[in-house]
Amino acid sequence: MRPYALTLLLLCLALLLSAAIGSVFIPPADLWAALSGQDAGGAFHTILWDIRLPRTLLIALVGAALAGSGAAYQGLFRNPLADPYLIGVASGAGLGAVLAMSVRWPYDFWGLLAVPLAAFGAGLLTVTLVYTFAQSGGSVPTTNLILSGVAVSSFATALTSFLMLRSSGEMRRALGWLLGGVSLGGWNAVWALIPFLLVGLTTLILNSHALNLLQFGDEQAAQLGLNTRRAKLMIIVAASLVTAAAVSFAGIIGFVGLIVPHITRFWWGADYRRVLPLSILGGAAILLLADVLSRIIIAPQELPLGIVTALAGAPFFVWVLRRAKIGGLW
Amino acid sequence: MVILQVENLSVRYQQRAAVSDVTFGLRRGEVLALVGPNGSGKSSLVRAISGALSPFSGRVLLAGQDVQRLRPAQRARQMAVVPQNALIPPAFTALETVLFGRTPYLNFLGQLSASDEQIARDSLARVEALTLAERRMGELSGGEQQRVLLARALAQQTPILLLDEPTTHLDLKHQVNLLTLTRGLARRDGLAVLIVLHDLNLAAQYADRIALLDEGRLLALGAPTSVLTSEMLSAVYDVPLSVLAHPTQNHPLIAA
Repeated sequence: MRPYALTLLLLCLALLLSAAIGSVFIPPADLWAALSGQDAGGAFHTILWDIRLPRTLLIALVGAALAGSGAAYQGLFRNPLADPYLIGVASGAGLGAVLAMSVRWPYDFWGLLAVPLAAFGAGLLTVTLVYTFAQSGGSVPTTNLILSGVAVSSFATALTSFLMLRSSGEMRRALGWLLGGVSLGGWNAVWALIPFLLVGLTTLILNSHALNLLQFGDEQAAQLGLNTRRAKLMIIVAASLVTAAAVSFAGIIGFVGLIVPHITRFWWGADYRRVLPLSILGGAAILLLADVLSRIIIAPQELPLGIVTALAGAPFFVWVLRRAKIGGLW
Repeated sequence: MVILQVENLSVRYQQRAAVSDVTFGLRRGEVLALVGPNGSGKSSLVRAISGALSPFSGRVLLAGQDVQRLRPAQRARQMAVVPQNALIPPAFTALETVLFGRTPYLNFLGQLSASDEQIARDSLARVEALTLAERRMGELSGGEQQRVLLARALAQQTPILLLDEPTTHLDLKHQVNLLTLTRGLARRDGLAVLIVLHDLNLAAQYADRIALLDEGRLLALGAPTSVLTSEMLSAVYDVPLSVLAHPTQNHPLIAA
């Protein structure tokens, strides 16, 4: 239980920091008053309930989604480098989202739902393409997977950039979004994201034993009693759903899906029945902390979140990778 | 009683035939050793029986049912496989690895019970690997890993065991112990054991019957004394081999 307690503690801390810190600092006492509704109508109350809380929850959900799907992709492809970005799902989903945005849906609940649906469709299509291109004689070699992921993902990214250059106005907002600026949507985005994550992450957690078995390869997994085809399909659809939803609301935020599962594995072992839920909780916490950083580094301006995760994530990842190599985790 | 029937089984990789028209029955309570030179189709035969390869023609019947039509969990409750050159994730402990043998008995939430853990520990104890329970697989030697995989197969509690060269990385003591254990499982618990062996002397000593495979065909099947003759072996292995009577035991001894 200790891993869960520590991760939850970190998450609570991150939630509090994210609620308190920003262009306007809300002191702890006022934070409590605003949260409990004692100063309804006050300035802190408005900032907290209209801006900070929806943003905080959205970031937490996105972090959970990216880390959860990252852990699942790593297990599914038996590849420590697989993450929603490297295998192209995120770029594909991004393209789908931008296509949907170019239709100019209204920013209400249903309009917000259209974007993740388009992103999900495109993300699923991308991962299918990547997987098909990578296949060679019944197996999917790691290098093939990464190379075809890079190829398909570059193609999707190029198409996305093309679409954005061709249009104006509406799409300018999409650019900020694409870099991981999470200002769109408010509470509506939070509500729209929840059903996707509920379905996707629950499916992934229910498949954590299957992910464990897949580490032995398809043949042994089947000999041990796993319906490998069904399990892999469920995992890939659920992980792509979750990635697409996250990308639709927060744009391209790299490294969270790569790093968080690695840290989790490094500290608490390789069993996906633990890795998945802990990655989900940890991903929420880590992305919140990164978002808090993005608000204070060049305050009063904000850095796009994707830049912060890459700047902090890349060196940390190198360190984790070296330690993991020494520890024989992969 | 025949529990596993292989009927006119052929396996192909693209155009190349790996197994050609093999027919035999595996009985409860026997150890059947599968021998033959490199590339004679032993592993392909085991993989096809396990359901991992689909046959080009013919079929494998498990208690009367076609293996290809059974769900993976149903198969895994009937047959346990110790594969050759198995992919072994380094980060799981030996106990965790053995617990995966309980997969066909999990509920749909994938939960293990306390009795599963007891079964896994007992299985480790039977292959003399209980002391390795908490060690990571990546830290273990090839022979230790092989014993853990055998324990995983035992934890599946199946009436049939398929072992593909389970002795390759084992030292002499553990080879003998593994084969003694295997024979005990057949004699005492009535398991049907199909075991691929390279060492003809071990096969002669521990198997009830021997199946000799060459270029995908089943050349001979029967008691060690009838299959392991110098004419047969010299022809199949393409080197002159002598078969002698063992000085103290009642089985043949093969010498180059």
